[in-house]
Amino acid sequence: MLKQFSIAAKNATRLPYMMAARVVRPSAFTPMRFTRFVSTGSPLTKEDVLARTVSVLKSFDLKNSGDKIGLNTQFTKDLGMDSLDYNDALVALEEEFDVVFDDKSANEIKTVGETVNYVLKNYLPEQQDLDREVR
Amino acid sequence: MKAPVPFSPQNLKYVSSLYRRSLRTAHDWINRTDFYREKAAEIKLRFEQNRDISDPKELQKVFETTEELLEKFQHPDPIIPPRRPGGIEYDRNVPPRYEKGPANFKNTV
Repeated sequence: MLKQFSIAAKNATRLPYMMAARVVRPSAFTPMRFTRFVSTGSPLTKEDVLARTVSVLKSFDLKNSGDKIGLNTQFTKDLGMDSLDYNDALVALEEEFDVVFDDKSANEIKTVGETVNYVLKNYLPEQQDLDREVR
Repeated sequence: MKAPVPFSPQNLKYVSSLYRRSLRTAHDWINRTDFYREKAAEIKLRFEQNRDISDPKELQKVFETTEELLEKFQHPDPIIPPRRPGGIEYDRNVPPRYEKGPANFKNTV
């Protein structure tokens, strides 16, 4: 039984199933083949997110704007933002990355690095097989 | 709701949440960034005006007014990213693009 099954599996892998699929499907409806990034996770890198975050933060008037903003920069201590300012920045970041900071995590976020991690964790990659206009 | 404790961490969290919600509501209504920034400045000023309230009863009253305002100005069709809960693409499989669609209808009669 098991042997039979393994033989069947071998045959199945040998089948040129792309061809088989093409025969079954009417040629007019062959979808475009795109590489899907869904399984590999978010295509955003940490550096990308950091750079975009920094550019959003720079659009606010910061007290110590001369300093370089890194992952360990704290909103309140290093950037001189009060709680309202930094919530404003979070809402701006939501718009930038299409993420939603829920109340619990937004209250716990204190550094730029935590924001970046949250964005990386909750970012939804674009669906690659869709038209760019539809996306 | 329990009486709020002024200047406590819980209070800070609640006020932050209110502030974020008001900014989002403003953004739902206002499409242009410069107009939105103006509105955001106004919202911030309104929050700043109530910064030093130390009387719990007064604080409670201010919170209630804010909640009422948020409810009043709630957008009927708020901006939600399409693939987030509530968005138009959420929990749906959008059909892929086709190289060639079906042939156009031809009226042969």
